[in-house]
Amino acid sequence: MNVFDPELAATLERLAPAGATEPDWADVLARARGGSRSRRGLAAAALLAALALLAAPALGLRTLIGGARPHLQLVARLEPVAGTGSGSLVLTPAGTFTHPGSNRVEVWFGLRKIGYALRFQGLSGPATSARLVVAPPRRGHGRGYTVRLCAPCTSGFHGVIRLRRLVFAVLARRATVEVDTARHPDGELRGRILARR
Amino acid sequence: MTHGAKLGEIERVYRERFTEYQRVAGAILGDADAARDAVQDAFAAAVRTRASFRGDGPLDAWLWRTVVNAALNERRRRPPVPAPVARTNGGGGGEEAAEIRIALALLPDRQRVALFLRYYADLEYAAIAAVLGVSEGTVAATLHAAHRALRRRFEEVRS
Repeated sequence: MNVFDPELAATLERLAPAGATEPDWADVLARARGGSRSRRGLAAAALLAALALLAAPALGLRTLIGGARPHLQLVARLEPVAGTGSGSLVLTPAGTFTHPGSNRVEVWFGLRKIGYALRFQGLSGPATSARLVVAPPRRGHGRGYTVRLCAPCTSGFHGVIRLRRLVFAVLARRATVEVDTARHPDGELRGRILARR
Repeated sequence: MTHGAKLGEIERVYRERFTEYQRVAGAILGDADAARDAVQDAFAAAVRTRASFRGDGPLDAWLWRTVVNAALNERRRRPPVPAPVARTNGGGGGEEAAEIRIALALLPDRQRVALFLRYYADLEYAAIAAVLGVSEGTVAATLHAAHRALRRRFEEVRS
């Protein structure tokens, strides 16, 4: 049933007479063009921003966000726990940036890989293994964990760690690196990883 | 099945039914200027997205849906308007007209839109169903509920 009430229609017609304004097709077209332009502009701006972000680390640009310096460098100076050796571990998380003169560190959300290079000398014997030890957070939930870097190890060993959360652990000064030898299986060298600014 | 609407066709419908579009948008928004803006924006959107018109229904219904959605979106974006109070002096139509305005304003959105699509736009149930994205049965029920609510309101006023 398709009901139509002429009385109601007449009442409504009286209540809302036709508007005084005339149709304006040119205005419709102008609005349509304006919308397209602004959407195209936004898309172009987003594309440029994405390209700039992608290119920044590759080109070593200093201008990412407020003049950030590419790549935060994380360094551990390895001191002897036993013996007289020494060494270093340098981590270069590709998706990090530091801000000169401030404590600000940018960490890319998508960061997954952290390159590292391990050097040591003067050990009591060949290095049997090296590991990263991350202590549990001082506050909140979470456990500590260990990441094996190499076993056995030679000086100059380099690789990639695929742990984004490690960066945060390092920034919270919860990460240390340990190098073992047969004589000192619980660590002959040890050092806390710190951000170099 | 046609894909995409022609610009000339959209313009023709716009020119033929502009007044009705404006009235229905006005019924939703309660503001003539905002209603005009909503109609213009809706048609601008229709011009931009005309390629997406699938042609599985009338162009008119597609354009109505665009206008009604634009007006409803604009209404949601605006701060809530308090229910109108009766004005017995001026305002065109006197006391009864004022009461009808209040009764219309108090109707749920879908009932009010269905009512105006039926009586202003003179759309059949099938077209209203296409505009509102509901079945014809729901349109009939919605209009019936709107009629009943208006009748009840008038009876309250007259008694």
